[in-house]
Amino acid sequence: MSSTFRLQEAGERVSAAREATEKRGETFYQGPSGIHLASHPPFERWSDWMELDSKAWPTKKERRYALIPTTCFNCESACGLLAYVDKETNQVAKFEGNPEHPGSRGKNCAKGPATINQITDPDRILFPLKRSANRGDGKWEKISWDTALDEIAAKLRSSIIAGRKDKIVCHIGRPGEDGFTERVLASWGVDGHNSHTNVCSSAGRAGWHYWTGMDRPSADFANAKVIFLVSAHLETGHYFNPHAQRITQAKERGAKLIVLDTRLSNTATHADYWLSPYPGSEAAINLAIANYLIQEELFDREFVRKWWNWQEWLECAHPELEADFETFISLLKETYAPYTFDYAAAESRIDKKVLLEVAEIVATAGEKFASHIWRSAAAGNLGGWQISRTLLLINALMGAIATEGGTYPNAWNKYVPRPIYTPPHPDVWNELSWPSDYPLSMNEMSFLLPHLIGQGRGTMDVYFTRVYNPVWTNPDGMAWIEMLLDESKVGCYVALTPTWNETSYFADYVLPMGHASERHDLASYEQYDGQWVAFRQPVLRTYANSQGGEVQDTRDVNPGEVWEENEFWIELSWRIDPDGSLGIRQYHESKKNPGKKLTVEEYYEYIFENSVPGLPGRAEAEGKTPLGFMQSHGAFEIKNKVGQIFTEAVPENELIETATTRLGRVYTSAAKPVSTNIVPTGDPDPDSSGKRPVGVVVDGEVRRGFPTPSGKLEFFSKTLAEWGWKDQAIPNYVKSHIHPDKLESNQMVLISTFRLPVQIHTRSANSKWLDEIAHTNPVWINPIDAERLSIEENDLIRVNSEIGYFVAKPWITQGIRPGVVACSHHMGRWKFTDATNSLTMRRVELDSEGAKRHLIPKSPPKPYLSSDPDTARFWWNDVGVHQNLIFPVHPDPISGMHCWHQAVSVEKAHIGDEFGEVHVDLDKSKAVFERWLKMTKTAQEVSPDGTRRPRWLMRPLKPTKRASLLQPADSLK
Amino acid sequence: MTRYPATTLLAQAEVAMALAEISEGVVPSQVLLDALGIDRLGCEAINALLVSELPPFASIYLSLDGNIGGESQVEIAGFYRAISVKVPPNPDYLSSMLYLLGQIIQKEAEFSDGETPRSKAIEIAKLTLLQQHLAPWLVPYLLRADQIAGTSASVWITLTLDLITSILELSEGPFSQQIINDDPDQGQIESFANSVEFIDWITSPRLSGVIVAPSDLANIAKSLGLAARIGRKRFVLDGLFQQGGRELLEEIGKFVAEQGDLYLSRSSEFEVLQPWSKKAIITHKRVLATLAP
Ligand code: SF4
Repeated sequence: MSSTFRLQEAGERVSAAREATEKRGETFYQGPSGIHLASHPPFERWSDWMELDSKAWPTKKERRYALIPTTCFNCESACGLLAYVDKETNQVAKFEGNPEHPGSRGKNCAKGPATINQITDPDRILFPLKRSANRGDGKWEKISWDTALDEIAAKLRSSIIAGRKDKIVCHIGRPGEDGFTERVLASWGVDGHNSHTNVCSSAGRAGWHYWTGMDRPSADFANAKVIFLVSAHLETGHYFNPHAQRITQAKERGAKLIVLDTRLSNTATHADYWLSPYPGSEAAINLAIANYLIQEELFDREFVRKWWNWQEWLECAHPELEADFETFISLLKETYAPYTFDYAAAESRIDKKVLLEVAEIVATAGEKFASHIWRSAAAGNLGGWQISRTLLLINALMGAIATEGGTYPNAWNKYVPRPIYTPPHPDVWNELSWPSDYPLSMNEMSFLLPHLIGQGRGTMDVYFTRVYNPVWTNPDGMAWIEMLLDESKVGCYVALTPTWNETSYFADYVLPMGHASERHDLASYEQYDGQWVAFRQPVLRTYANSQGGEVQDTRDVNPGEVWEENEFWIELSWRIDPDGSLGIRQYHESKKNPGKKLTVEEYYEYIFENSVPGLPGRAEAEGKTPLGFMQSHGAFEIKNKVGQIFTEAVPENELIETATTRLGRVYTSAAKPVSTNIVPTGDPDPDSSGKRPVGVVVDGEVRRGFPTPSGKLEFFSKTLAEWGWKDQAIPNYVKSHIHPDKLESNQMVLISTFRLPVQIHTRSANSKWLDEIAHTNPVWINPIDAERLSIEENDLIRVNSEIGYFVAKPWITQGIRPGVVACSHHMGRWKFTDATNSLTMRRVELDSEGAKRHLIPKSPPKPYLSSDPDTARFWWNDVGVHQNLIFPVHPDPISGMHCWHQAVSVEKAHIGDEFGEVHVDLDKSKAVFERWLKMTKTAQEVSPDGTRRPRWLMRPLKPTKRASLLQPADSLK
Repeated sequence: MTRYPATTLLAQAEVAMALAEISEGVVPSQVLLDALGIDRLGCEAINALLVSELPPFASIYLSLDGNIGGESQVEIAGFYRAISVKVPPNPDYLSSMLYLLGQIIQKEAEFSDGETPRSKAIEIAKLTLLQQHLAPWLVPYLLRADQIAGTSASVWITLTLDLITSILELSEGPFSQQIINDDPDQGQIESFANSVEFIDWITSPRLSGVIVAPSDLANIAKSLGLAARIGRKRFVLDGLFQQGGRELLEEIGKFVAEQGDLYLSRSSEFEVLQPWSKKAIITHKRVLATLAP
């Protein structure tokens, strides 16, 4: 047979096979990956996937897997994972990326696949535990779930019946499903939601919220021309993997990457321009760039004219001036003129030529300017929220808002499907979480809890932490221990956690919760201009069902008695209100079988059938139910290219009996259409006659606008002006608490917040792969400082804050600028009991002497025998230092954010100092709290309408109007 | 210029992409294997060949040091860029290159009903890929693969050679790739100064004209009763030279001569084999010179 003939025949056979395969909607060619690590098993073969067993090499042993999708739980990105369920062992053998997930597109960071370490951790918590000695003694007994649920439910019930609804608090760490816990708490009628956000992102959010009524950026990195990151975002930032892959994509296309990061992070190493500013000066740089765009008229005038609330600024702040656009532009020029490159160079200590060059690059981006800030500088500094606000000023000048390659408000790139029940929000206000001292705080003032309780402002009957570790994570951890040890202040403490952590050692009940493949949740996050939902599911439950197995609840398939939260909360709610008389049970009942408990299947069936547009049709086309589709694909993209929602015309049927203000805000009597997307946004108040805001008039047309009081981008925040902060109402530069003017001569700035791309806050203590890569946190110090302080590489150093000191190892590096030191998050984990093992927790002793508290290292983690042979092999014993203990609370008077940067002095360790030891004075920490408290303006002093907080600002639970009114005895300040 | 009709081009394209899939080194779908007539055993043999014996990276066979990457890989990446195709992570990996070839031929079929600047450009792209970047190493590679994997991989090997033949049938050289151009000087035959120099030479297919697989070394060791260690070829050779000198070199000399003969025997079908056989012959002569008293 001739070669051409052979080829023709083979070609035709393959073509026929391909056409038949593609007709079934399946993938024929996976495409070359170069080497196969980058390719993914095609979807149609997930039910029976074969791989050779790597451990059996060189023997070729085939292993067959069912690939079940789920969602990573190790950061908020919610990337898709594929669990490889081994059909022989019926257990998960490994995790890889889910190519069907539109956000992560089959890729993961190291933490995703390391989920296998978490679920097989020989020291994980497998059963409900109750303390069997004094609180904090570290002694436990195993109890049944029934006992735990009954005992906790009884306490909750008695608090609710007694009307002590502000005494139940649930403190959330890693978010699970958007709004789920909030709805549970709402069903109990309590204002008990407490988040970690004020030690995390609330300043970054505040800057966004005051501009747009939405609280996060969603940058369209992949299509940007210029990317501007105020952070190590590409390396470790929020939505790390989904964003990093899109930034890389843009860079491949030639986009310029500008990174502001004091530290030489991995992100900085990828930048075209790396600017290492003096910490806290970032807003000055942003304003210098903005000023350049303004003075040189390089901004989008039309966009500014149409979409900024410039009229409101003129009217409120400059009533003496003409209210026309040209006057506004002149005033804008005059206002920002002081922010020259010289000024920014002096503040940031960056060459002004470089700043000018960067500004010129920014000016070339037009609408394709993608910027991002989340924690970093915003979370470090007094007034950090203005860094976020000034960054968005650049976008707003360029018109790069919700444009291709620009930056979107998160809510337009996110979909939170309406669930089966949405209980009413509570008729009670929790003063411990939302004290009237901080009326503008973006989120709960959770990190002040020990101090507020210490001042006698209240107590807690039942305190839950949910995948959260405040003793370790929050500033002033010793004050947390103090609070938790006092049963008169915290009546009952329940830790819902998958792993042991520093806080759970002080709990009354420790309840084991599942990891990514052991629980249900729905997730949707803004990662590009699109909307998707992803399904986290207990994969062995889905697998068992596919094999005809009967699963009652997720505990049946999870290791030990590990449970998922959704079923836990439903069960707990039933036990609080077994007969339904408290009105709680109704929100946890089946609609299909009234009087029966709501199951997770019914809960998700309802959502997928009714609240995810396009999903039922797509599922039907594959012959599946919507739930079946999500169980098999793991994610669904609802919309791609959402575009500029604010420019959409408001439909006629929403414009009934309208009233339009002088500045063009339109109110309507038409009821708000019921949306299946309940993504939270700002919620501007109705007008005095009760009509709801529906749009804004722009050039004679009623457009949808922004969810702000004015309906426009609020360059000027009337809210800030009315609530006592006129001077901060427009984007501005606030000199940080660590500004050089405020430091003593021997002080430096400590940057303590940076993360490592391979660790998961404190949940990765036993993720062996991750721990092997990163397990310690030396203090970065510039060689100039090291020489000045006579510090050498193998020395120990003392780092002294206002309230204490820790002893650490130095890392002398040019990766940090002189005058600044840096120490990473995650490390310095500890335990004071031998009841548990760990790869990264050192054994310590906690000691006290009056107001002084000491953490004394006893022994480093040691290899140990367990079901996993690797625990006997780990080789590291340097696990770093717990730096957060020496940080007093620094609540920003406006955003409420804890301002993490510290003024510290660094010196050589003293004789007898031991690596890892920490010493704190609680009297001093209290004094710092009181000093910062004096910077606030309380609601009593500034509220223009007698409410505790502007009602239009977002809030996870939104108490009734009645509960939002100030009471005479609200503040003890 | 004579052209294939669109149907033939489409068949070529389909086969190129199917072969690319097979060359991935993962287990392809059963439907694809059935269509090509490759059974499970064949699939395993191909995988073993690609993973353990002859890694199919062009740079190994085209670079002076015989390693993956380097200048030859950069050149291939440059080709992707020149035709505005995104450079994959390993541009010189066989499967990437075959897939690209399939895509180019597919495009060629689309524009095959007349000679336009577009169709001409596509054809030039195809020939450049094949003549400069693929055929110069793939032809000798496949002949060696045939020797190593035997009949189990024969469908894959035959189809790949068929594909190259059918495209080259209607085209002319020149092969401008270095392996073709650096025609060895046959005048001065120098002996190898020491085992290090020999190892450097023999492990570079570009220098020696010889493609050595781990199993070749294992066979040579076995025939001499030597112990072969596991690892990179140069370490295996080093280990062997520590145990045996002259006999080893003689045995390798025979192996080299066989390769020269193999290439020579097929060089009328594949012009690209001529420099390979010349180089192998020189290597053989150098071995003999080294062995000479
Ligand atoms: S970025 Fe990493 S840790 Fe975060 S969800 Fe994705 S894979 Fe998980």
